[in-house]
Amino acid sequence: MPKERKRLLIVNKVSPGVEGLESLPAKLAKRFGLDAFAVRQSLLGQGIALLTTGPDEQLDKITPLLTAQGIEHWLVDPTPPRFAPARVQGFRLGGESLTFLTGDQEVTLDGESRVLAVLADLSGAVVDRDLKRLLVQNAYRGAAALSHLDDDELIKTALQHQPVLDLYLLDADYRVRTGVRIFAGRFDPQGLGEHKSYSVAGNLKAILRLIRERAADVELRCDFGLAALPGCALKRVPPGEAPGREQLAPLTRFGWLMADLWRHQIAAEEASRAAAAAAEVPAALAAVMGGPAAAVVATAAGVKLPGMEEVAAALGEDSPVKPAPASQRTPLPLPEELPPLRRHSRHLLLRVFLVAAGVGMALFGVIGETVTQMVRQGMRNGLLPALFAGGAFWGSFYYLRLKRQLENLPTSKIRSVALGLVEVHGRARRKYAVVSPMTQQPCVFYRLRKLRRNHENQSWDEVSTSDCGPVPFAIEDDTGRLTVDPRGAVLKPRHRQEGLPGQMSMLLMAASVADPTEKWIEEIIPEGAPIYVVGYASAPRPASSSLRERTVAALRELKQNRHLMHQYDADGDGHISSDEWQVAREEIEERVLRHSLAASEEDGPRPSSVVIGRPARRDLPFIIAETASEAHLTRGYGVLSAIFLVFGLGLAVLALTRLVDF
Amino acid sequence: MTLWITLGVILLVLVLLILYVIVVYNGLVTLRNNIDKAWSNIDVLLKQRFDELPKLIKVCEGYMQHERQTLEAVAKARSMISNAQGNQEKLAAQNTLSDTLRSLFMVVERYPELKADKVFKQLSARITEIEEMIADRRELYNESVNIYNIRIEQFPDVIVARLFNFANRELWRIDPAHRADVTVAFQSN
Repeated sequence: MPKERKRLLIVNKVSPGVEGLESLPAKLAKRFGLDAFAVRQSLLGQGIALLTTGPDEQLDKITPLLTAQGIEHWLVDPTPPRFAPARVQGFRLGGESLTFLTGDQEVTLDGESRVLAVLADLSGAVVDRDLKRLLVQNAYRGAAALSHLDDDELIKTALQHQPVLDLYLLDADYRVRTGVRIFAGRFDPQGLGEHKSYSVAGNLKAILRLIRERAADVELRCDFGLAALPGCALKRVPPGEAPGREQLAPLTRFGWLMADLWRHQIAAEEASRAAAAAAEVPAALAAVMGGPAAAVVATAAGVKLPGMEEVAAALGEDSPVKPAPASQRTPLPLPEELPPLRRHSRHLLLRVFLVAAGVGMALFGVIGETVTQMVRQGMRNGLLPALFAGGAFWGSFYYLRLKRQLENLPTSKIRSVALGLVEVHGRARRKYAVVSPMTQQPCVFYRLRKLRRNHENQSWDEVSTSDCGPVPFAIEDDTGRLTVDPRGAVLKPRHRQEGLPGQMSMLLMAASVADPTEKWIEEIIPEGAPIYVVGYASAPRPASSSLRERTVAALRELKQNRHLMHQYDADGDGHISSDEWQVAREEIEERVLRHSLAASEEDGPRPSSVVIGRPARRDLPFIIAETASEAHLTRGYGVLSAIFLVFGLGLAVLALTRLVDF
Repeated sequence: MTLWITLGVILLVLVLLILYVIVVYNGLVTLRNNIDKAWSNIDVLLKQRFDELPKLIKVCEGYMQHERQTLEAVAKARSMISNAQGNQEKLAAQNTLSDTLRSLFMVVERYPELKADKVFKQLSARITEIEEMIADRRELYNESVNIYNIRIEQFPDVIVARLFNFANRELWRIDPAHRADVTVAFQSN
């Protein structure tokens, strides 16, 4: 009994920004039992991938959904490879042809040949480079702005490693007639004549150039290893080793499948062309047959149908194929070099306190007798403890006041934030491509501290600290988004990661040096983290003039133009009465308003001009904390206030006892 | 000696208490002013809505020749705000204006040409945006009042509040008519 053959449903992946795509995997999973995660993987990104295989009835039901979503797809009955391409040993160059010499046959390419060329890299360097590029792009630009290597980059990378060039000559029906395989450096280039080169890559480039010059139609594929197709997975060849059958079989399958796809594409183009010619209203017909998406997809795919572009343009507004929003497509700019931020006041306060205490203690042992005597005297009569008690009370009241300030401030919605001191909750969004140096996470703020082990008391001393500087970022809630300028803010990140020198990744931490003398601590506010911001909202004056200013300018212009004024002289008495001036004024106002609205529509929605920054008054707080709960923050300040109070009370009692004794 | 120490401790506790009272008092004053500011911030938006209305009416007039009554109601409600005396009267006038605007937008459904007018779309979107912002700021006002009212009733702030006569503040309340259930009647042919 012959084995039942299944067709493959292959799709051209689309950008994640396409509207309505999010629900498609779930829809396909529910209706056809497909794995939603696998479907999503097959649909998103770039290049081609197998969506599913199965009985014809099921695939025929899936394809309309893909068409409606504007996803280019092919239903392919794959041709089983009948032969593997023969290895080329040499060439013979004719006036209009190029002949490939294999051991037992000659394959000639001429002006009527249709050639499918597959340039593959068997070392896996192309795949590695592409993956590395995606990871870096994901970190710096976000998932929506990913782009694979283009053909030029793929060719360049492949030629630098272990390239193999497969050439399939197709017949008039675009079916594989014969094929040859060229291994870099394993052929005699003498036959290339003046085109030969002394470099392996140079010879392959020359062959590709000659093929393009001499063949009627050439299709070059460089995505072997990148396309997710069945039986076409790359099996890497270690450097220096010749590829065996195991590595070459997937490449052969890939070549035959690409020939099938090309045939389907040509057939689809011809069918559309014929339909268009028959109907004389080609675009409308294409739209009716394939829906608006067909027109859009065909145009997007470079299929030139008469009138197709017009339909795509006309229907584009209502088509499900919509480009990703500009914000998603535009990569984030790099941040400017900015000076590091000041450490926040809590640490500053503690530091001042500890430094004062340390200096006091140092004075006892190090500095001369006079100073030591003074300090001893200060301790004996209670003045020094009183001084420290005063500092502790000040700290206690500072944190108590701060706690109450935060508790007393209601949370505003970003859409309606009023100018002045405000409190907003939302998620952090980057405005610049800030990436944490250690964990390579996209973030809005990072701080990196270097610590060195103090072998005397086994503690860690901070050696240096660096941060990303005051890079503006955005905060977003359900109602809108606005900019935060973190200059002068108390920044409180919660994500903390320790690392040791020489670590490749934080995941390897456990397997690292047993007793290191140095370590790094990275604190970040990652993109998308819930943040709480208390600061001063202000709206820098926009550069463009206001509506009123523009109206006044237009009226002034009207007054100065005698010819224009004459148009409003309804009774023709040579001067403008108050009623006539009123008419003129209303017209000008309306015209300016319309211009203004039209301009704002062309510009698109303007982002909020409100910026949250440091208050001009020093006693007002400016805090950016990575927390979803205000209570979490205020509780911390309450505890600090209590600690300072207890400490201050103890010192005050000590000071009193000494004072009274004295 | 013990007496001096006791006196010193009492003095210290007194100073700390006074400082605490100052912190609480200042906090309550800030809260009270926050409420006034939140109320004024609503007025800022109401003024913006007030200024946008003549433009909207002007655009509607061109299309809605048969809806003079609705347009006049909006214009009248707008002028009521200018003439209103006191907060309660102003609040009532603002509510009336919101109602008439709602009626206007309902009537607009009968005029597809007006709905398609670019200027009308922009203006109605702007007014809707302002209405949403007004709603947000009313919530913020209520939040400010709520924080203040809780503070002045909680211990130990209640002592300072009573000492300095900090009184409860009113939350913003909607027109009682808007609390009534909405009756939807489907007409059968």
